[in-house]
Amino acid sequence: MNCSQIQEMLSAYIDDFLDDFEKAEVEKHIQTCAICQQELIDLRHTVSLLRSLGEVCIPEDFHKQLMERIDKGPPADMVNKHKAVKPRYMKSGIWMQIAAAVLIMGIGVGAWAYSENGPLHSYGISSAPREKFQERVALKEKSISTAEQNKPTDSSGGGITSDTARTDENIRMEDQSNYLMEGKNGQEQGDSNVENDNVGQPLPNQVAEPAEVLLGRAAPASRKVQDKVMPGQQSAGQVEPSQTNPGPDLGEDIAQPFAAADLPDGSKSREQADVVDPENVSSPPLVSALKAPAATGEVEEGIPEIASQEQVELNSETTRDEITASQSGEAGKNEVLNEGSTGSIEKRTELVEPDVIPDSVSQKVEKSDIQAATADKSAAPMSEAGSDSVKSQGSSVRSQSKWLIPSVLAILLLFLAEVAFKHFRKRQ
Amino acid sequence: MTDSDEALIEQIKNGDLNAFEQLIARYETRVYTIAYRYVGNHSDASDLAQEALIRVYRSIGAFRGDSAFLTWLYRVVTNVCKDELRRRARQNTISMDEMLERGQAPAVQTAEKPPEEAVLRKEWQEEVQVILNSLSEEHRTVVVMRDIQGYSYEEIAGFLECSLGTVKSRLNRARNLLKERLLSRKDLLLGRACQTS
Repeated sequence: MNCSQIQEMLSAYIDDFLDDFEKAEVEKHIQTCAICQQELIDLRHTVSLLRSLGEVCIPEDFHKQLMERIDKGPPADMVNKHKAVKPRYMKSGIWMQIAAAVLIMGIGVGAWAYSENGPLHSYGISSAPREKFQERVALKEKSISTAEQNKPTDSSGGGITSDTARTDENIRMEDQSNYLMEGKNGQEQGDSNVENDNVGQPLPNQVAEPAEVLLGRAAPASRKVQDKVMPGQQSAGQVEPSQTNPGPDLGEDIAQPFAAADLPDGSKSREQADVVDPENVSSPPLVSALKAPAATGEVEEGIPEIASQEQVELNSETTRDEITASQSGEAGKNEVLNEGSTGSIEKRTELVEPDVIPDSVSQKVEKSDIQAATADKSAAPMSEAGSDSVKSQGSSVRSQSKWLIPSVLAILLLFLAEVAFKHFRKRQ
Repeated sequence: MTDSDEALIEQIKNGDLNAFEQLIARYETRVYTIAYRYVGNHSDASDLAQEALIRVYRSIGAFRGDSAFLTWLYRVVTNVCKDELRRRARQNTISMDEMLERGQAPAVQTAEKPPEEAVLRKEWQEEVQVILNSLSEEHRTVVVMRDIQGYSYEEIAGFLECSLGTVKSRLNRARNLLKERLLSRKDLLLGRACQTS
């Protein structure tokens, strides 16, 4: 051993804390090394000096202060009982760590269980929000597929999804509107009354219930109208920035139809009105027509016919009221009627709050563009194929997210196991 | 006739504060000295010693007499002081001014002063304590435990919750640091008479 190694052991040598071999090595080295011998002497002096330090005088008021502090404190018995009751393991931080881990796991499990893919997704949520939630999922898928369809069909001039698919979408959207309307009935009633007074309709009570009637009963059919007819006009009427405000991702989709509908000469609306073929459509484009109040005479004149068809098909009180009013109205009042009806339609648009279900808005807009371009349904299979591919991508994303929370939980479990292992190892 | 520690402890458990006062009077100087060695100044030593004795009074119900009362008392004091030094080591926010105010100036600065003047200024023990205070909390703790309180390596490892090898190396390092600083103060190292109170 060299001097450095020996000097490392001198402290333990003084305390006689070396094993026999080390002790022999130190003694052997010291006999031959003057430096290490001096080191040992100095170290012994240091230790003996420390050990020779005597007691220190306590301050004069030490005892008095101590007794005062004890008198001020709680009785010893109470403290002792408290101490005795408190188990030893409570003093260690292990249980706090375990509790924290369990809490985090609980939050994670809860979030997963109530998520879309969780087993408790249907619990703890009232039926309406639950349906709305499911509809939002469906709408998102649809909006993705619609966005995919939009690009090729715009260029080719054709391609709309099948009637069945669109009807499902419309029903979903309408249900959402229904749900949203429930909390806004009062406000909507007030607005309806005012606007219908302007039109001169004498039945405020019937008109005053559009919140439920328009969107609940009349809406399914009117939705067909929205989808199948006049998407450009419809979107133009619906997409008012202050009302829809669908978010940054939808801004471009919305801006285009809105600008088109605002053309002063109504050329866009006229084109869209030309596309409208009431015979090919199960429901007339009441919504679309009403949405373009100041557009063109073609659109305005088409309203009574459309409305009459709608009256027969929908058998809706509110729609019937509107239609009756429009039919009974004079030609000069058509414009006024359109304005009033537009008010009711705009109400529907307001109900579809974009911040809640922005996808539905974008869906309408995109769908409108598609339908405005052409009503040819022959391209539907192609569009559906594209939709399927998008859906498959979406499902793969969802399947990935399915594993996210279990992975986090697994990590937490590992952390918990590590903490417990350390704790028990420490105790051993 | 003086009561034994055990008898006084039984009285304390029955709520006799006078018995506690008698018992403490026997050991408070030792308790205070240990605290002073750990923290190096009278103000903190007073607070820590009182804290330790209050803790003894409040937890004396848990004392079962398996060991001598003095051993148990030393353990309480050691834990209080050790925790305080650990807290200080974690904070490590004591400024140089505060150190000087508390008499914790590094030994090197003290050693630069003329020895005679320094010795005249302070008692011999206090000079040694200043050098002791120049150690880090970690090293001072292990030196006080071993060379002031006389704990074994195993007991120190138990207090500090570390291995025997850590105690061994830490103590060796602390002693060598003290030795180097005391060598610059030969007058201290040669050993003046211990001025015990």
